[in-house]
Amino acid sequence: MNEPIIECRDLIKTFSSGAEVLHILDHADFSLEKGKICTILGPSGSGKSTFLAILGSLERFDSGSVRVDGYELQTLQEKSLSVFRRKVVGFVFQFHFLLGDFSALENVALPGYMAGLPRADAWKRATQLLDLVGLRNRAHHYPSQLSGGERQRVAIARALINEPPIVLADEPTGNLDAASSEELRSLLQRLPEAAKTTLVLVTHDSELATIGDTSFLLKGGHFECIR
Amino acid sequence: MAANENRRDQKNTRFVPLLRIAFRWSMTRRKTAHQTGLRFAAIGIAAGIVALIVVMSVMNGFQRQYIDSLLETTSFHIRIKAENSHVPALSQSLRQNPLVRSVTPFVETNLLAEGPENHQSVLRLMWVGPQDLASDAGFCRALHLSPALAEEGLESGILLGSEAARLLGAYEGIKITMRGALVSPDEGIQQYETDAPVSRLFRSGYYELDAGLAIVSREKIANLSLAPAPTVLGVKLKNPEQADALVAALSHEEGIESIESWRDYNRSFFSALRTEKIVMFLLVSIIFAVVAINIHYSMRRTIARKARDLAILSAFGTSQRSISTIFMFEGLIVGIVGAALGIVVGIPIAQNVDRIINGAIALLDGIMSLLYRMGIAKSIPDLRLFSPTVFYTEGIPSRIFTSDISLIAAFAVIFPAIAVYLAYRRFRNASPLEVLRSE
Repeated sequence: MNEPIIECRDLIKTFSSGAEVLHILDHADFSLEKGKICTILGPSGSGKSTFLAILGSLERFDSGSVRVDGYELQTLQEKSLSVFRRKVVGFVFQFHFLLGDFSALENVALPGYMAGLPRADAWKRATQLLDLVGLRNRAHHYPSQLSGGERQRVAIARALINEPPIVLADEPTGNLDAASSEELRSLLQRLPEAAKTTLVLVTHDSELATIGDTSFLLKGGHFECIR
Repeated sequence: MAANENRRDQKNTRFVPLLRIAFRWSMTRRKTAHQTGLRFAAIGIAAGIVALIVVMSVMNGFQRQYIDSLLETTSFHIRIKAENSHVPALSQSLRQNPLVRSVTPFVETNLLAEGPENHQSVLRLMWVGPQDLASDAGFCRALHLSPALAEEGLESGILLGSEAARLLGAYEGIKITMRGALVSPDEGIQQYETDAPVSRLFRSGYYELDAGLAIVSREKIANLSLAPAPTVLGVKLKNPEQADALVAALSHEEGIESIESWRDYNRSFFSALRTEKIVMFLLVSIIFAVVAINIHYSMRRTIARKARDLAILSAFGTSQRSISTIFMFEGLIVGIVGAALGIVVGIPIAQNVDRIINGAIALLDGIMSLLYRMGIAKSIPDLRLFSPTVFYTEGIPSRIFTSDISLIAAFAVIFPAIAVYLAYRRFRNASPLEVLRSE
């Protein structure tokens, strides 16, 4: 077995709602090998998105340890977390969240450019990634000129610009019609090989869940390996 | 490892990408409320700069006019009170000093002058040798007299300020009488009196001089039974800024009783001018404060609208510092564009303010004349901004100083940047995840 790229031990995350304390993750353990696709399923409110946010360092956790690509997240300060997000993870959200003032190409290139890539290199890599997601001909269109599926594919290309070892996708097909979902499913399936990355996918979509090498069910604050 | 990453992170916080993003947000081709707000902010700053440049230049113009008149006449650059026996040698030595432009020995007293119809006025009387006055070209120029006319006038009588002449009811050729007094511990109060015809009237443009200065030949002191005051050497330098250095060098020379530079001699007057300038600068700077407050609230709205974009940038690893830098750059762009526009428009206006105002008045005058001829207006009003019946000035002087422009531009650039930074500070602790969830 390869060294896990993600390893969570004894992870606890609670939310307080008045006097009530919700145990979203309750001494949860999780581990994932490099280069795999992992799908996480679970009922609404079970904490799937929260877990993804913890892996991406957008959310802090109460206790336990989270090691992602060698980074011990519980030890990092805000500055180091920015570096971690820039270098280790790429996000794909349920909504595309593209910057409306920038074209598709610029949206993809910008995180790379901000991370220190020379402008020409960032734009070249962004063009290659738009090619990968089949949108090279739409590079200079603004998000408002793209369809929902196209915007989401641009978002995937953007997540890959810094060549992150891990891509975190939170319900990426949640807002798409059946045809667009199918296109995206196909794209996500070949992502680890094409982009040499590991994909953690949170979804309700049972069709999409089948692309995973491993699948977990998050229920009652614990992960249960179902495949 | 984290420390190394931090160092690399700081290295990677390059300004060019942040500047590009700020530029794109400010100059996006899509017309947005944010962009319109920034344009109005830049125009507001430009208007503030134009106002400040024009106001400061006109104020400088008036001040320099007074200062130049003073320095070239009664103040000189250096005033040396010397023992009478040392005056010729000191004068000779100073005239050979390469820093010195002219040396004018004179005696200075205050006298009560009386005109032909018994009108009286207090005059500051300078007793100067005709040739000494003629050799001080700056003095003659300040009085708007040629050196030859000044020398000839002094040989034949008194050079009198035009306003003093008006107060005394005197004019050229009319004799005026001047009476003074000396207080001595031994002799008590001693009066002296001299009279001379007015040979020339002068008008320097500075009311205090024109209403209070008279110049009479120093040779006339020989006709008095007592010397009215000790001799002063009025020294002018090629560069007035070297006055303090020369004062320091001369202070231990033999025969000098006291010596002071133009800064010391006019200290209270210059302090008043400086205070006036600072207060005016601060008052007009309120324009920038108003613009900055506008920018601040406009940016707060913008940042609230851009919260999602900021959360995305943050999610992809852009540090809070970089995001705040983007907004600072936006503020700086507004400030720089506004400052550049204001300077480009403000300097030509300041340089030609007299012509512009006279042109506008002439235009209005023409319109009023036309209306009068057409029978619409009943009279033609006096539209002159500085009517000679009220103001003692013939035009609006203007002097532009680079230091003033630099200070104004710095204010214009810094104010919006601070305003934008303060607007962003309210949002910097927002969690990107919370923002994205709320979307």
